[in-house]
Formats: sequence, structure tokens, C-alpha cells
Amino acid sequence: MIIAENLTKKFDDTLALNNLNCKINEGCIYGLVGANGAGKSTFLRLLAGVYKPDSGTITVDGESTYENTAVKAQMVYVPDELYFVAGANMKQMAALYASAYPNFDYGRLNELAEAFGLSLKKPINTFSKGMKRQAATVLALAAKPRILFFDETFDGLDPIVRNTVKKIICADVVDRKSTTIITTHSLRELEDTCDQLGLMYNGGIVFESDISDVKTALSKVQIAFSSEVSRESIEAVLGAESIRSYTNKGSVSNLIVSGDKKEVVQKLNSLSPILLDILPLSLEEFFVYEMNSLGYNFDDVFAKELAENGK
Amino acid sequence: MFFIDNQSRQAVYEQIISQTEKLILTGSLPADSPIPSVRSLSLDISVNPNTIQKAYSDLDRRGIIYSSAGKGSFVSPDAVQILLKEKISNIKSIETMANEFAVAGVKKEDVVAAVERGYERAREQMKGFENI
Amino acid sequence: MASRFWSKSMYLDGLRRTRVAGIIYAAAMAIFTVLTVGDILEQARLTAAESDTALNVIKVDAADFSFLTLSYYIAVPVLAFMAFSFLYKRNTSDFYHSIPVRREALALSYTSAVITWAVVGIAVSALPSAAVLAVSPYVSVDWTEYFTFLLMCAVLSILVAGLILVAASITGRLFSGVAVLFVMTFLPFFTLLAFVEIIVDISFLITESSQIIPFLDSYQLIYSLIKLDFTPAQSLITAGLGIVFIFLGTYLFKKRKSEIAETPASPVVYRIIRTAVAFMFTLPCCAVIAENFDSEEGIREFFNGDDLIMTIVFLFLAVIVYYVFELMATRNFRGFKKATMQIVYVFIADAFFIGAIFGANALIVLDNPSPEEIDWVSFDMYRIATPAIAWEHDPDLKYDGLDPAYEGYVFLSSHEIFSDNICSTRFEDIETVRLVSNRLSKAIETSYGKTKDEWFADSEQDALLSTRDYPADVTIKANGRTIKRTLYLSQEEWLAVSRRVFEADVAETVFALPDYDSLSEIYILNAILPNGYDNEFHNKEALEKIYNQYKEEFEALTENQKLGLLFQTFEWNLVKGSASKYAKYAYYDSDYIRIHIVLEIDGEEYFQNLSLGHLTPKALNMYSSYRRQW
Repeated sequence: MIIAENLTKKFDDTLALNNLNCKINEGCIYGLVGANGAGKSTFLRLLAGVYKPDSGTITVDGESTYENTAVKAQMVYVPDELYFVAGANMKQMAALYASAYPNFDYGRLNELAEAFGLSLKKPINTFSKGMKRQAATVLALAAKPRILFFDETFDGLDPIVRNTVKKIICADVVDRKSTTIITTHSLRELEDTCDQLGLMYNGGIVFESDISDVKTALSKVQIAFSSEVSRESIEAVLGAESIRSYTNKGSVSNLIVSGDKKEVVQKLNSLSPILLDILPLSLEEFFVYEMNSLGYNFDDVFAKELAENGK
Repeated sequence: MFFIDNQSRQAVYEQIISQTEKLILTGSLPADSPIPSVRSLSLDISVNPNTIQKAYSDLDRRGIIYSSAGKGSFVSPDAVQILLKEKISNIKSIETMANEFAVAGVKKEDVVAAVERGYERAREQMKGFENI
Repeated sequence: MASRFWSKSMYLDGLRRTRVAGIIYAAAMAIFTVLTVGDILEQARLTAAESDTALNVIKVDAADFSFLTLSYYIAVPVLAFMAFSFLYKRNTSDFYHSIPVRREALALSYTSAVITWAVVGIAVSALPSAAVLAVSPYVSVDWTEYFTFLLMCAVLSILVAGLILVAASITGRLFSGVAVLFVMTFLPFFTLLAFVEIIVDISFLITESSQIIPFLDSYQLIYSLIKLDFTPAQSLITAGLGIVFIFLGTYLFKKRKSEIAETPASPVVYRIIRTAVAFMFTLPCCAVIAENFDSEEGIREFFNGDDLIMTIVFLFLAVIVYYVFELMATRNFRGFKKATMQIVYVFIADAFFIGAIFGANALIVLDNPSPEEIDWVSFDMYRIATPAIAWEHDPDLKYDGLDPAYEGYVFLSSHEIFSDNICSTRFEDIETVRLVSNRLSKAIETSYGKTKDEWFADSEQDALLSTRDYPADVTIKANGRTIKRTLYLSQEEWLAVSRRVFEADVAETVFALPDYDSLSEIYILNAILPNGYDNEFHNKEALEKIYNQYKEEFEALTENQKLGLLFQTFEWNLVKGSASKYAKYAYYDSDYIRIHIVLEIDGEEYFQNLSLGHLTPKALNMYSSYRRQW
């Protein structure tokens, strides 16, 4: 289990992580979302033991990661800016990984390299950008670590490769209870692959949850009445705290409501609406409203970013 | 066996649950027949195993499936009954709704016609499932 | 294989990373070796062809292989900075810190990879060279010197590798890494050099840097630019120094924050380097200021003269260097404002430096032991233009072409055994000790409140220094310390010392000839033979007999006669009896045969020519009879 407690990291004058708290269970696929500069890469690097925390702790099964070779041997970090030893080919990189990671599986390496059409002998710096990503991913997967970090790796992969990788990660979860952390800008990515979700904002994790819970937590309601029905009466039926948002145009009202869908429908029906439409929220919509309810002004670039990438 | 729509607004685990229920009710998954393992299903439909596990846990909790150590999960013999019972508990709400319709002045024939259409649709669906 | 301090895969990775440079370097070494050895063999072949004596050999020593110094001058810096280049980019730095390898292991594995290449290059040259030259008939190799030289190159490679490990560990950019290396290598040496030279310049009593700091020229990396002959002891010390730096570097590497990649260095380190670099350029200014600010008049003169201009120029230069460094290290102008505020550190360093100089000078003046406190004194006469001691010469001696002013003097030369004996003699008698103590006290007394020039111009000093013939570097052992001062002796004082040399207790050690067994070399010079060198006389047994006989007869002579034998000219190019304008010294007209002996003391060679003539007839006869046998 990965636990971060009040994790803080500063670079010169910039506060990258600000008292970050987070819990990542074993055997999950955790999606970390956040705007550029929110601190995702910094967090991953602290996890990977590359940086030392200024204060707070980051531990894997209770052991701090910095300069801890035993812990590092269980983690492979695939960074956003890929690096390969100068002039090395996949075979040589594999040798490097194999010497560092005890579970390295050459069989898997060969299988995947063949499946993706990657040459083991050609120097990796002759690969295209996408192929480099694939190479890094293959090496990481072949290392069969307990914990894998993919920092914006999938954003550039083609769907077939992505699908294969996803299957392997899923199989590892079942077979070895491995943990994978993926950072991404794309909410689609998140929905497709992850079961846990963390939202980073301004150096902290502001929201953490099971993905299915996210989808079932809020609902979008469109409701119309034959006569004017005030907000208060709706609030009276549902309870004021469960109404996240309320807009009204004439006789049609749009609400974002939390709570069990069936109960909500029941309660609203007691008001005898002529129109009642209830839908689960999309992930983007969820974020915007959840953020607002937490007090963050989400009318900013990030929301737009999320919305765009989600399409 | 399952058809998962990642784009759908319905959570994936809910889709698995409802599709499993449909398969059981239509007889495509008879009593004591095996449910695909989390691993194989995960590889098959490219779904996060934890999500699948969540669905299975829910079904197990409700008694619709049971697991046998080392052998896997299977459809409970009384799965159909349990599902029926759950659905039947909703009938109460039908009664309430009918009452509301009546009070509102909706004609009984319209309500009955709607019920008829629902059943007709189910028959069509079940025919579809039989072909799987 | 991985452990806390070494990782085989990282070592191999290190070798691989640097393989291009390593191979080029090894190839270069190979080429140089082939050229050098080829040249030697060719020379040997030619020599063999032209002369029929097997003694005509080509002497090979370390200087022929000076290209091996490229190993630590060029190869190691290039290799090391290449090996650690991953520290200078964010993504590579992070990668190497994310893999499960301990930082100590990474540092040491890479460093040993660099050293491996260095040694490979040396071996690529040394093994074939040694093999070929050992079997070549007309080649004589000074193997001790050669292997000591190889050791030196290897050891200096280790040192440079250690220095670069330290430099790379505390910096985030190649530029600042090189700057740190530059500062570490040159700053201590130059600062010390400047410090010592300035003191020599302003002090009344110190005229040579060796009086303050012995071995200034040893153990310094830069000095090996000129000095190719580290002794094994010096190599050992350098190796130790190298290991210290490697330890330090490993520790710093461990502490290094991966995120300083692509920044010049951590803020504190960076400021220190920048200050140090600028400081080095202000050293000339400090020198000028220290030299001039010794009195009010000096200060006034300074502001009126050329020195002021030079100071300003260098100051300006230092400031420019400071800002240019800032620009090149950070690649933007953002830090200029802060840098301007922090330039004061440079001036603080200057102030400390100048303060230290004045402080040291004050300490020197305070050292004024009384005769009772002094254990012994010795006189190093070489400062004198024509160092000499007075003597009552033997009337038999002829002066031919000798400047009459030099009559009555025996001239000392450095690296001559007898001269060295005099200069290392410790005078313990109270008169000489008192002489020195008084002279020192007087020098200090009269120096108060005067500039150096004023002091020299002072009438009493002037009398002493009218010919500047009697300055001596006096070594004084007192109060458990040994100090060296330059004192200007009056004529009487100097004559008194000279007389002491001939007194029994001193003369015994001064005039003692070394034992045959302690000699490192002995041969006979014979003026009538071609080349003046009796190279036919290499009969060791005969030489030993002659020498011992000579020694016996020599010991029976008077001091004056001994002097006469020791001080025949070594600019001998005369045939017996002829006059020559080169003969500056007295000579016995019948003595043109000399025994040349060489003694090795502390790695330095000292020689002496002993006249074989009418004062040692038995030895002379022995020589003649041996010669006649041929």
C-alpha cells in the first residue's frame, strides 16, 4: 500500500506539492488527473524515490522510498520524458533492467516486442516517438514490478497497443496484485482503464474515489412541472445538501443531485412533474460540479482541458 | 458474453451486473453454470479486474452467484428466484404509480398498454439473448 | 552483482557510455607509443651502426614518454564529464535515480569505469614499450624512473577522476562542473602562490618562497605540468589525495538532489564558485594593494602612480568575469540583480586575503629568538651572486685569468657535495648563534616604520649591502621551530662564519668524503683524453681501490690543501699549462685528472670533482699503473 502523508516538496520558490495526502491500495489501477503544473510528475518522482520530500512522508508498505533500493526494485517508473541509455537497443536496455529488477521476464519482453513490431537490435534512438513510448512500456511491463508508474505514457499510443497494454496490466493485477498508477489528461483513458481516481490540484489531491462511485454519486435531472414549483419545494423533498446545482428556465429546471437514483426519482415523482429525465453524469461534468462544491473555482483552463480531452 | 459500452453513462460494473442478471433470467446462464473468472473476463472485454470484482461481489452479496474455493464462481440455483423477488418488491412502486396516474386522470387503458409494450419488448430481447 | 558501493552493471554501463572517448584515447596512446618507440629504435640502430662499442647506448627515460600525461590532462576530464553527463539533464538524472541502484554504487562504479579507461590507455602504451625496449640491444631504459612515471600518471588520473566526481556531484550543468574543477585545481595553488609571493615581496626578511612554505612545488597538480618526476612517495600521497576526493565525491553524490540538474548548482555552492572565480582575478589587485599600503607614503604613491591603473584594470576584469560567469552559468539575466548584491563576497574574500598577508608579515617580524633560545643555525650561501667562503689559499696555487677580486675565496655551487656540506652544517657555537640573533634583531628593529626601499637605503644597511655580496638564507632552530630568514651579513660577520668552517669540529664534517659504497656513480675525468672522459676506465675494482686510497691520503691533508683539491674548476676545458679566459679559478698546474663522484641524497644528485694530483701521489700512481695495463 502506498501512503502519502502531508507530503511537501519545494523547488527554489515554487511549492510543487503542498501537504499532499493520498492512499493507493495494492492491486488497483489508479488514475491521477490534474492540470499541467498541478504536481503529478513531482508526486510520481517522489514515489519513485528520485526526490526527497521536504516534509511529510511517502511510503510503500511503510517504507520510505527515497534512496531505498529494496523498495525501488519493486517499482518501475516510465516518465513523460523518456530516456534511454545513449545508443542502446532494447536488448541492452533489457539487460540493464534485468540486472536491476529481479522479476524481469525475457519471455514477455520478446512477446511484446514482437507483437508491437519493435526491433530488439536497432538502437532505440532511431525509433519514432510513438515507438519509443512503446519500447519504454514494453521494458517496464517485462520487468514485472509490483508497482508501475506511467506518466502520460498512453496519451500517445495507438489504440491496439493501448488495448494490449491494458490487458497485460489487468492480468498482472489479478495474478500478482500489482499496482499501476497512470497520470493522464484524458478522462476517457481514466474511464477505460482505471478503477481508482485521484484529482490533483495545486499540489494536493483534492478528490479521491472509486470510479464507479463517481459515476453513481451524482445524477443530472431535467424536470418540468405544469405549474411553477419553487426550488424550496424541491429542496424540501430531496434535502438541500443533495442539490449540487440548480438552474431554472421557465418551467424547466436542471438539477445536479447526489444520492441514489431510484430514491431521487421516487422523491421527485411525489411532486408530480410532467417531465422527469434523470441521467448519470459524465466524468467531466462530475469534476466540474464536485470541484465547485469543494470550493474551487473550476471555471478555468483545466475544466476546458478536461472537457476537450474527454471528447 | 458481455457487451460493455465504456461511453455509456452507466457505470461499467452496473452494466456487468445488469447483463448478468438478464442472462440468468433468460436462461442463458442456468443454475450452477460457471461465471467467467475475473481474469479471463478482464482479458476478454478489456475491463479493469477490480471493476469486474466489484460487480461479482455485488452479485455474490445478493446471493445470485456463489464461489467455490479453487473452482471459481457459479450461478446460484435460486438466482432466478432471488431476482424475481427483488423485482417483485418493485411492484409496490407500480401500485403507487398507478395510484398517481389514476389521481392525475390518466386512462387505465393507456397504462395497461404501456405495460403490454414493456412485456413485448422483453420477449424480443429474450429472443435475442437466446441466440448468444 | 550489486552492493552498496559497487554495481557491476553500472560499471559496464559506465564503460559503454564512455567507450567512444576511451577508444580514441587508447588509439592515440598506441599511435604515440609506436612513434616514440620507433624513433628510439631508429636512433639506436643508427648509433649501433656508427660506433662499434656496445657502450654507446641510447638512454631512455620518462621524458620520452611525456605523452602519457595526456591520460590525466585530457582523457580523464573528457571521460569523467562524459560518464557523469547524465547529471546535467533532468530526465536522465531522474532516470538514473529511479532505478534501484544505490547512489554510492553509481558514483563509484562510474568513477572506476573512467579510471579503467585511463589505465587501459597507459597499459596500451606501457606493455608493448617495455617489452620492446627491454629486449633492444642498444637501448638502456631507466626502469625505475619509467615505472615511477607510469605510476604517477595512473595516480594523477585517479586524483583528477576524484576531483571531477566532486565537481559533477555539486553542479547541475557542464559549465559549472568545469568551473568547479577549475576552481578546485587552481584556486588553492594560485592563492597560496600569490600569498607567498606577496609576502616575499613586502617582507624585509623573507626573500624566497621556500622560506615560508617548503615543497610549494610538490604535490601540486599544476606543477606536474613541468615536473614529470614524482617520487614514489609523492605518488603515494597523490593517490591518497585522490582517494580522499573520491570519498568526498561519493558522499556529495549521495546527498545530491536530483532536481539541481539543469541549474548551475545548489544556491550556496553556486555562489561560492562564482565568488571564487572572480576572486582569482582580483589576486593581482590584492598584491598591488598589499605591496603599496605599508605606509602612508606608499598609499599616496599608489594613488598617483601606474599601479592604480593596473589595479583598476584588473578589478574591472574581475567584475566582468563575475558577470560573464553568472550569465554563462544561468543563461539569463535574471540573477544579475542578486549577483550585484553578492559581489561584496568577493571583496570580503579580498579583505581576508590582504589581512592574512599583513598578519603573516607581522608574525614574521615577531619571530626574534634570543641567542639562548637558539639551538643551531645554518647558512645557505647560494643567495650570493657568487657564493663563496673566504680561505687562506695555498701559495702553490696559480691564478690564471682569475679576477683578483676573487682571490681568497672558494666559490660554492649548488649540487656540489662540499658546498652542500657547508650549507647544511649546523653551527651550534654561541658566537655564531649570537651573531645571527643580533643580526636578526637589528634587521627587525631598524625596519620599524620604514618601507622596504627605505630600509634598504638606510645607511647602516647600505653599508652592508653596498655590494650585496653577503646575503644568506639563514635557518634558525629555536623554541622547537625552524624558521628561515634572509639576513645581510657584514664583512666581519661573514668572515667569522667562514673561519668557523675551518675549525676542527665543523671542518671534520664539511671535508668528509663519502664512503665508496654510498656513491651512486664514479668515473674519472682526464683532460688529455678526447671528450675529457676516461670511458675506458670502467674497471670497478680498480676504481674502488683508487678511490679508497685517495680518501686515505685526502684525510691526511690540511684544510687548505683539501680545498685546493675540491675546487679545481669544473669548467675544465684546458689542456695542462695553457691559459684560457675560461679559467676563473685556481688550479694546480699539474693536476688535470679528476675523480668525479655522485652522491644521491633525498632523490637529488650531488657531485664532486676530486683532483687527482701531486697531493695524492699514491692514488695517482695507482691510476697510472692501471691505465698502463691497457
